[in-house]
Amino acid sequence: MNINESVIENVRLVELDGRLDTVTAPDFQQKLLATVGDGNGQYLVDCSKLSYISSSGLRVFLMGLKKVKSGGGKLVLAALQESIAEIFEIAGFSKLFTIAANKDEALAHLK
Amino acid sequence: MRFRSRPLAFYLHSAILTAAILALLVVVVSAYLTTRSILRSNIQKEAELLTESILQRVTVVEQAVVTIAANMATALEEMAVNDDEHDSYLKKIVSENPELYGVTIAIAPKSYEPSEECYARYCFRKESEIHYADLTESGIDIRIEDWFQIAALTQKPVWLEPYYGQAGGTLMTSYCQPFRVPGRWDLYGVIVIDVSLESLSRLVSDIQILEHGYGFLVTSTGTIFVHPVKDFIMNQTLFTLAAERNDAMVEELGHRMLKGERGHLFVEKDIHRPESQVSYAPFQHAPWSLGLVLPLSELNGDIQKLNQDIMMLGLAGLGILFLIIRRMAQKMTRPLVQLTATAELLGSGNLDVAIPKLQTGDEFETMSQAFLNMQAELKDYIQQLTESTAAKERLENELRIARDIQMSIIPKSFPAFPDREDMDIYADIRPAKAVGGDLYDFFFIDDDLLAFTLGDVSGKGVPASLFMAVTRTLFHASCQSDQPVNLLIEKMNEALCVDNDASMFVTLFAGILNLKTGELSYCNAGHNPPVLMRKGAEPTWVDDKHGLPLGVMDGFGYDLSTMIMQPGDQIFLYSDGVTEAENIEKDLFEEGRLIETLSSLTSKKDPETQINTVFEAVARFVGVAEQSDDITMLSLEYFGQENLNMEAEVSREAEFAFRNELEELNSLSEKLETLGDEWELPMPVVMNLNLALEELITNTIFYGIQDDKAHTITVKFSLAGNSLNIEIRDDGIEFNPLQLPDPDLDIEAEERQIGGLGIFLVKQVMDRFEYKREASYNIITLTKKI
Repeated sequence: MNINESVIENVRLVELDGRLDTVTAPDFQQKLLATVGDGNGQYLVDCSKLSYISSSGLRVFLMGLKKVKSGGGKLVLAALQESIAEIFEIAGFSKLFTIAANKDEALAHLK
Repeated sequence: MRFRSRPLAFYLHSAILTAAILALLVVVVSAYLTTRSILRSNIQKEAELLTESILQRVTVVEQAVVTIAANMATALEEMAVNDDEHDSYLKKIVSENPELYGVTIAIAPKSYEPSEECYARYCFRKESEIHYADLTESGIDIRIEDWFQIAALTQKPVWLEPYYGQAGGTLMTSYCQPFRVPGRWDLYGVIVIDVSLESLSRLVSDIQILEHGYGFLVTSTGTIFVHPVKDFIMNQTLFTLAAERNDAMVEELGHRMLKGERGHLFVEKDIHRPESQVSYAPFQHAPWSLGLVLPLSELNGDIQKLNQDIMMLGLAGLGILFLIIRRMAQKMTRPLVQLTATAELLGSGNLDVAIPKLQTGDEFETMSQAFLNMQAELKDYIQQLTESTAAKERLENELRIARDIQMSIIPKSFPAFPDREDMDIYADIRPAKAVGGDLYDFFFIDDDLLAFTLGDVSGKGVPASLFMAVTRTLFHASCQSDQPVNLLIEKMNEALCVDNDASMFVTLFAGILNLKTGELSYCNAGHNPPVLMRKGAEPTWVDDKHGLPLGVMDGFGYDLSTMIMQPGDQIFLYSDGVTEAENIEKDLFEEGRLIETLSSLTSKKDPETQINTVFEAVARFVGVAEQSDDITMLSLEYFGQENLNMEAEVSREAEFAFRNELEELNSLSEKLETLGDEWELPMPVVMNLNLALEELITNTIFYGIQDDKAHTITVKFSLAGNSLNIEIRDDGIEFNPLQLPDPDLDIEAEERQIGGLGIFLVKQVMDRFEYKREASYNIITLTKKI
């Protein structure tokens, strides 16, 4: 999986491209936690190109969210594909995360 | 607690004492004023009397003089003007009237020519000897002398102003009486009687009234001639005094006395004198006036003494009053304090406290009696309360047990028939009270026939639940015989109508499904029509041939209805607790929302999911309002016979092997994609497979295989009908992933555990997930319906 990081205004943007499974999860974990740092900022994960997720990936998302919450920041996920959204729903993650339909909406949320 | 009684005593004290003090003050003041005026008027009277008595004595002397002079005048008018005769007459008068000092007979011509016919013969007493003198001797013209002129010219008697006579020693006065000289019209005649004022003076100065009261005399010009202050005598007049002292009162006094008035004058205090009262009265004959001065301070002294005495007495009385009040207050407040303490003890729960028995014979006794009564009644009441509470608790306990019993008669374990693949059934009941009146039941009459029912007893609570138990038993019993369902219902109705004193009834839907043929025969006794969800179609109502509820009419004929269930069809039964669920705005859930909720389930709509979803929807709708009725649902899904042939008709098979290394997961996805293409599996299915396999293989790699050796994990796929079966086999240690607990989906992110999610996901996306251990292999079987 490819992970692209950038900054828009003062939002840290992470774009995922590909599959997030047990093999690729560790890399995502490392990059995400580094980006989040102490959690005291605004973070957006663009999942438009995320095609597959398993429990390992969910775990990393959860770790990231915990960090952000304890740091007083905000984390928004954007543009989840239907199958990914369903997995989030089954796992009960749709209740935990702020999920926006697209990147613009997510940015608006973070303002 | 003592301070609480002080206000009462205090109030008593202050109120009564204040009243007493006020009364005392009023008494003192009025006594003062009254005694003062009484004393004053007394003094006035006394002064008046004294004045009168003095004047009486004065008048005697005055009168004597006047009478003598008048007599003499008369006598002389008969007598010849003769020295000797005059002398002897004079001698006679003087010696016979010792109070007189001297008498003069004077005659002078009326004209002013010098004449030798002036004649003044003076006879006086000196050292008890009679002496004579000739007043014309020294060449005085008597005609110009006061003592002659005034009387002669006015022809009226006149008293002269007092003067010092006898060589300046004695105060004297003269009374001049004119007379007619017989036979001589050209002559004036005047008798002069000299009288000493000593005795008068002494009389007045001897006046003793009060301690510093005194008398004084003034003449017709206001000249003071008797006064305790010797300086004033013949030196001052009232007016000169007044002018000297700038004293208007004294001037006023002067005016009044000169006018010959009699009366009293109140004179204010000033530097020369204390506050005084002056009583005055005129002489009867002489144009003089007597004044009596009474210093009122002496009076006041007496009044003040009187007041002091009253005050002393009053204060003493107040003191005694205070003591009495204190005593009384104590007496009154003591029982109050006692009762207060008792009341507090009573109030704190000590019902057996001894209540003081007051026998004061007044309201306190009544109060203590009331307390005693209250105590007895409280005890009684609490006793009753305790008993009824215990009874209530017992009842509640029994209700709880009843509920447990009730719940245990309903089939509650699911999946109810895990081995049967031609149907799936789920049901649940949520009672409103401890025990409910709704019921459901299902059981296999024989291998092919499934009987199921859902009903609602009228009412709630224990009576309804008992009726419900009876109904269910009847259902079970009736369904044993081999009869169509409507006749069974009729039999039940008959039994329920018998001995139905309470007129309870039950609405019921009953059905018997032939799992071989799919034929469903059913009967509706006044119950809500169930929802029928045919595979791929919109939900509809099973809404025909409604009969009466059971227990209403004995012998009622119930109709039989039938329909054919196709594989994939579902029938959904519910009680009116669903459709009549009320929110706080009193809106009802209604059939519309039920249909909506059922329609909204697209991917997962097995009976359990359906029922739980509807429960959630109702709960969300009702919100904080109370659940008013039992909520019961039963859902039945018919799969038909096709599933039974699943194992016989395997259309496709495949097998993969993986090493116990994570990298292998990459080849997993590739292999699954290929398989999906070949077998024409839908994308979601492939994704689910990928997810499930990844999770399970990962778990096996991490937990199942404990050594460093290379192991193989084999995965077998087989497609039979619309069922895709997967078997995962590994030779690791015994490890059952199903034993891992599900994660709690409802807790906050901060509290979510990182692990346990994978297996949960597998359970959710797969239709069947089983584990078994065979020899030294872990075997996991998954099924996904396509």
